[in-house]
Amino acid sequence: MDDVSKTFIDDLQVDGMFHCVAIRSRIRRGTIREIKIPELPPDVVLIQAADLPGDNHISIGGTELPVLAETNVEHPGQAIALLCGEDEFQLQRLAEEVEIQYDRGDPFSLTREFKIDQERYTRTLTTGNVAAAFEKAFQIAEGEYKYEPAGQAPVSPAGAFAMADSKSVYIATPTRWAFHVRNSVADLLGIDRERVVVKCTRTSRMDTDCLWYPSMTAAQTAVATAICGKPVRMIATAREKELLFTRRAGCIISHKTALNKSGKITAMQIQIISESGAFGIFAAEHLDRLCLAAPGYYAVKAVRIDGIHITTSAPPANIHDGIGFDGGFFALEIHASRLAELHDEDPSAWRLQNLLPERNLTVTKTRAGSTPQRKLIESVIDISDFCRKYSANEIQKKRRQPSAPIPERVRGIGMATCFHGGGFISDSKANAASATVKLSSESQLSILTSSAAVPVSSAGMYIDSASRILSVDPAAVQIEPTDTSVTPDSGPAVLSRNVTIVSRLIAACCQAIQKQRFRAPLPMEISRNRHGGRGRRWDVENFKGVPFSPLSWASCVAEIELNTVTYRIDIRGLWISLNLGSVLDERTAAAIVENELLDAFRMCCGYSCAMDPKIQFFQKSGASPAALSGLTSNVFLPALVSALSQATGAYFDSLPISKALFFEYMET
Amino acid sequence: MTVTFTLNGKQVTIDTIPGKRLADVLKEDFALPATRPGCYAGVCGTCAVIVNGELAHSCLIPAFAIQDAEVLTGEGLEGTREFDEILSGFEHAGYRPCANCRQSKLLTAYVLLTLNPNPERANIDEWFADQKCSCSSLTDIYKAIDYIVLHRRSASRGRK
Repeated sequence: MDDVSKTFIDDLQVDGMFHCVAIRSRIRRGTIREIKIPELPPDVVLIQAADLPGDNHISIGGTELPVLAETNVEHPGQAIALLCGEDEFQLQRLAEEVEIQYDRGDPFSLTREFKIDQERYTRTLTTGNVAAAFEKAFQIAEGEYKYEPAGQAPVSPAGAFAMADSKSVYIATPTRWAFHVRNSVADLLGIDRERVVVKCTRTSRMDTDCLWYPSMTAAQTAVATAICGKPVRMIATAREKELLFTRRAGCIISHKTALNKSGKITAMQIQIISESGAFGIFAAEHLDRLCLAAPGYYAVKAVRIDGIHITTSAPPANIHDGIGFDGGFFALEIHASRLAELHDEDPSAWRLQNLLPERNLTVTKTRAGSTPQRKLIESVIDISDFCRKYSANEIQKKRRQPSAPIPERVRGIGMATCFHGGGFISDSKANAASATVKLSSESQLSILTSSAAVPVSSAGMYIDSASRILSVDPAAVQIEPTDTSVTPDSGPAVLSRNVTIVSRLIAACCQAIQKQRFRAPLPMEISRNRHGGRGRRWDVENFKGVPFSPLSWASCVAEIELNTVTYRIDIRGLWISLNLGSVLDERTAAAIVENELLDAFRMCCGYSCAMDPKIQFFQKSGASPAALSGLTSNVFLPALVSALSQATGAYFDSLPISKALFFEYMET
Repeated sequence: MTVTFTLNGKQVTIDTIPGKRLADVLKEDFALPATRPGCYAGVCGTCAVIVNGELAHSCLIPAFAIQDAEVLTGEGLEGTREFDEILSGFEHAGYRPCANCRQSKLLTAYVLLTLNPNPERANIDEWFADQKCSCSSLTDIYKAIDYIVLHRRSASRGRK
């Protein structure tokens, strides 16, 4: 298996290859009573849990996912058995003919009335005297917000290919975590990890933010190749992509806020119920991020957060960029707009009044570095003419007679502000990374990292950075294809780690080469490593310290027009200001922002809408680049929903927004 | 069943099952890898081809439906002046779609500019709304289309 980095997984074929099709659960939760398999042709191989050579699971995100279900199924689409053979269509037909009888169990859902069996992880944080602050409060406001987003099914193919010889097992798959794939396969087969070689195939931008699926399919195809003695390929069907790749972690957040006479927050009491599907994948990461985002960047001395992460009977969620911050800021910023309205104040002025004056994050009580939030809010309200438009819309809304029919077109404007960080906060080991840069005697530069293939924009970022530091032509810089036998382990390419961790390691390698290149002989090879522990800077147990360095910040204003007959939302204006430390490539960053806005709108409303966003980047020369992916949608969605609430006069407090939801809110 | 149709200007005949999707026919029977079926549901748009002059999702077209049809893929348009203009427009605007959606976006631009040589923003939005791969920004698509329109206008003035 040579270089597969230019090949999509569904184009990868070898002579004598078997296909593999999974027989999947069609119910949400239950116990398998009987599996009736149709008569199989002699060349078709059936693989069940009992046939697996090692432990029947892969370990990921603080939990274990079964490779094949034994007796219990925990979510729809969970693999129960595998069919392998030469003819893919025949296998699919046979898989459809398999009858599985279940004893159905009650499915677990995201609800306040969850069962004790669902509880996976808890986090309680308290700062200040919350009870006393609520006793003295002039006003107390409460709100409950439900965030259940769905991502987009990947456009490019997903799956895995496995083949073996006497020495090694070779895997090809589009993955963001090649070394996790390697370790999962080796552990399942019970062989030395060095004997498994994983190569990353071609993919599209942001297509595979699902970390567990490539490792799972690689493990399944590796077992199939070991049992069948043939190369095996497994490709996700359209239905599998829709079911297994679109899951995003959700939450219900209840805010109870105490305000003094002048509208300043004096205390917050926040309850969080979060979920990431079956098995509680990345439970701690999701909940910890939610806890960090829930009180936001507001000046409040007394805060209590009670968080519980539960399992649900849904496929395991992806660890998308911005996980946790999305639900946390969605609830907080919509709640903040309501608090401003309750106090009859402009939401921008209310926010500026309540922003933290000192450089501390509320919950962690530690310095957050440079905090440009005030500047971002002021810039975005200035360029959008927010205050005038907000007041005009409020007057229009108040003039409407309650008995009169609502006009066919109504307008609203909303704003939100948030921060964001890259890398893991619950598992510091997952932040370990290595990168290597080689300079040949012909002045060709090679970058070796396992985090270059996905997302595809990373490769361009590394090349630009290296060519700038070493003053070499970008054409002379090459990214080596991801191959676990050649490239160092750079960790999972999620949560903006490529920007905040791997790009810094590559820059450090290049700077070291720059210092030595005219003194030491070529070729030259420099490696840099980042150890997993955040040392004294972040104490995950006590939730104290600096969780992210640096933070990125954004403020957004969204102006909408709603057709009250068709319930269609049109974006009239969109303004977004971002501070990302230093921006490595402004054009690529702007493209990421634009695409995130389109994707977020589609995720929220279910259809596309033209928008012409005005994007402003605030930079600080010499600052480290901060996380971008996820920041835009996290700040846009609460601004959009706040605008919708102003337009309709109804309080929208959940996502996604369906037309049925419009009907329900506006009729009641 | 036997299906005869015109593929990239050449008449071809295949022996296939009637329900096989055109996307799979192009990929498996003719080794044309640029057509990339992603969702098999007409959603992602990456399998776009031109059938009888219209942009179509090849993942939704069964083999029996292409009898006597004219099918055009990116490979068939390569080397034509119109296609080269689109390629250079993309390049000039810095618009670089990923390998997965490149052909479908090129074909979308080709059909759009054939039917409407001077498209408005709304036309571009409408045509590219079917392209769900978010590897590149709409702003860059506008720039690319604007460049191609200007280039064609000045070239036609030059020819006159």
